[in-house]
Amino acid sequence: MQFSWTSFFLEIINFLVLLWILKHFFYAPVRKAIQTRKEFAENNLQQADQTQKAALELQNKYASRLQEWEKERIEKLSQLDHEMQQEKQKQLKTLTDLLNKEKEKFRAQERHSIEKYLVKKEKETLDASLKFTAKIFNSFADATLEKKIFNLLIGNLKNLPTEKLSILKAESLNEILTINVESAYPVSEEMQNEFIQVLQALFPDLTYKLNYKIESELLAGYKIAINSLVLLANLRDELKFFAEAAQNAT
Amino acid sequence: MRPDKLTNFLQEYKFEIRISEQGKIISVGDGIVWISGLPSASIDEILTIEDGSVAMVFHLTEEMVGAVLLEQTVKLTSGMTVFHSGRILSTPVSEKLLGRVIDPLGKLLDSGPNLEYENLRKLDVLSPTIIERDFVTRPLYTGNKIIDNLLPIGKGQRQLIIGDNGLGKSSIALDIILNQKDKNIICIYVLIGQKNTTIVNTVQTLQDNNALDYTVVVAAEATSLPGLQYLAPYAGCAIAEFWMYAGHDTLVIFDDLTAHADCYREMSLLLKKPVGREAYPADIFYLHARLLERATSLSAKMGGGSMTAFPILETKQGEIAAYIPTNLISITDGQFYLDTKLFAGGFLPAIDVTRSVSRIGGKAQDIQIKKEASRMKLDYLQFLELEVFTHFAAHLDPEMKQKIQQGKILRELLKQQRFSLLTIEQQLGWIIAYNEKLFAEINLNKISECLFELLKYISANEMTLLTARNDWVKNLTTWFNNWKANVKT
Repeated sequence: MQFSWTSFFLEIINFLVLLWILKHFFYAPVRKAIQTRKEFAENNLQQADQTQKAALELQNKYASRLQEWEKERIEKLSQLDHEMQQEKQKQLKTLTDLLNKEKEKFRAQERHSIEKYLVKKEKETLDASLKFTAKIFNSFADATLEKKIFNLLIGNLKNLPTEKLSILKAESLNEILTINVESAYPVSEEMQNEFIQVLQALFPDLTYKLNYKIESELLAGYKIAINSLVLLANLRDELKFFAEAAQNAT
Repeated sequence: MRPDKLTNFLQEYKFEIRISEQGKIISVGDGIVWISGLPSASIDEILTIEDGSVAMVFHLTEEMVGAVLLEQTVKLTSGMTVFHSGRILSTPVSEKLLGRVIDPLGKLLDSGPNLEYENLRKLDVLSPTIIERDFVTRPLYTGNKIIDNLLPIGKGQRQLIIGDNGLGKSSIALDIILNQKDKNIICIYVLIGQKNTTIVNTVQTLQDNNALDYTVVVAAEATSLPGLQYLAPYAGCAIAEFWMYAGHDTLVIFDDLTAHADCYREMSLLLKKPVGREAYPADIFYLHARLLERATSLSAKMGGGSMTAFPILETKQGEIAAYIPTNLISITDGQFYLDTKLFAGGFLPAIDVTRSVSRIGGKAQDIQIKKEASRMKLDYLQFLELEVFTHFAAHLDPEMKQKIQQGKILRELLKQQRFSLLTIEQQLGWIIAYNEKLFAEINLNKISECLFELLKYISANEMTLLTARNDWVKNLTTWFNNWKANVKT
């Protein structure tokens, strides 16, 4: 076979055309694709870097937040503890106050019961003593005792204190003085005269209208009514007087 | 015992003339006597008359003593002699009075056995001092829905029951007493100037409901002496104080103070005391103030007892601005006002919430009830105002319509028959059901039937005031669903 320069040049041209075709239709797209992939990979790497950075930042942020929350949690816990302690103290104080109040109430009620019981016993004792005294008076009251009371009465009338005398004299405004005398036993004439003499000394220049009546309930002694005043000197009213005084004392 | 006083008396005693006094009756009639003499007579002193009658000094003039009769025999006539009795006006008190009917001086009016009294208590005493009192903080449950939720009462409070004749004031008072069963509260019902039939019916009602065991009835009927009618509330108060100072909780009903004021006016006019407004004597305010001030809650040092007072007052044509009503409203710690229109409209008890108040209020209310019922009164009052718009067929927005509907349901729920009292658990139950709007889907005419069944369920259930609210809601919701399903079938 002979060397042909035409073929050689045509082959070279063919080769160049092939190179151009390869470059244009093969190497360029491949290079482009490689370039795209390279860029894509670089972008991804960049993004990944950024994401990693952001993640690290977030991590740090959350870590610090967690720390803060932890601190807050501890603070809140201790505050809650403190509040619970305070509430506990408050509730305990309320309960204690309530308990003390109940104790005080109970003591007061107990005191009241004891006082009531003592008053009841005092009353029973006084009633018994009054009944006993009345029985004794009943047994021993007689005309002799009444005479003694009469003498006491006359003596008292003669030595009446000024204020009592003025009360009596206030009743003697009318000229006729009505005097009702009740006694447990009949009043003898001698005693009546003695009585009138005392009246004359107390109420001079007056006319007396004396009415005598037997009232055995007096036991012994006298009840003398002068208008709206009553002079009491008898055992029955003396017992009553003692009963009232004893009741006032209790 | 004060042995020193008695010992001193015995040491200083000697037999001597004692000067006493006697008077003579000048005139007698209408329950009063005029007496001449007795120059040292003092007001409220007891006088005995030679025929056995008893009177109390009520008025003193220069020449005569005016007294009101407390006991009168047929032999009483003018010219009789009158003596000082040496006694202070007092009434016998004893635990044995429970279940008995007595008059203000302690005389038994029922057919039970005679009693021997150990103690006497003065009728008119000073009220406890400020130091002796305590705050009113403990609730007193009446069993009434309106009262226990919207107008709560505390032990030691004075609450007036006021309204026209025949509106149910005494019914409310009786219901309050009936609800105190097994609650350790001693009740005293004071009937002043009432008819005999009313007294008999009241006692019978208490007996039929087993309430007489813890109640004392003090009666001064309309035909009794004015003096007894005047003393009746003070006697009731004195009997209640006997228990209060022993540490117990007591409750007193004064039925009614209108008759008491009228009786006092009558006696004062007859005895020619100076008159004031509406012919009442000038001290008519003091008459009731000194009575009601004795109702209080005592401090622990005094035993911790209490006296809750419910004075009843009758008005004329709803006029609460009259003399005696305004007096009593200013003395008491609140009032239940009964309205004629509500009564005529079938709303029973006819308590007008807009004009009623309890000044102690929530301070004496259980915490659970207070939490649930706190808005109820306000909502109800708002509903009453909004309801006016429905009469004009005005266009209402959905929120207002809902409020009105809830208000109508509440009104139906608040109705209550006599003797159908609620326990505190039942009160809590129905309020929670209402607040959770469980009644919302029920027809208004079925509300009362539903409520009746609900209350039966609550009383059979074991839920208490301490049960958690969620449990209440759960149980009530289940019950309502079952009830609605049963009603549909």
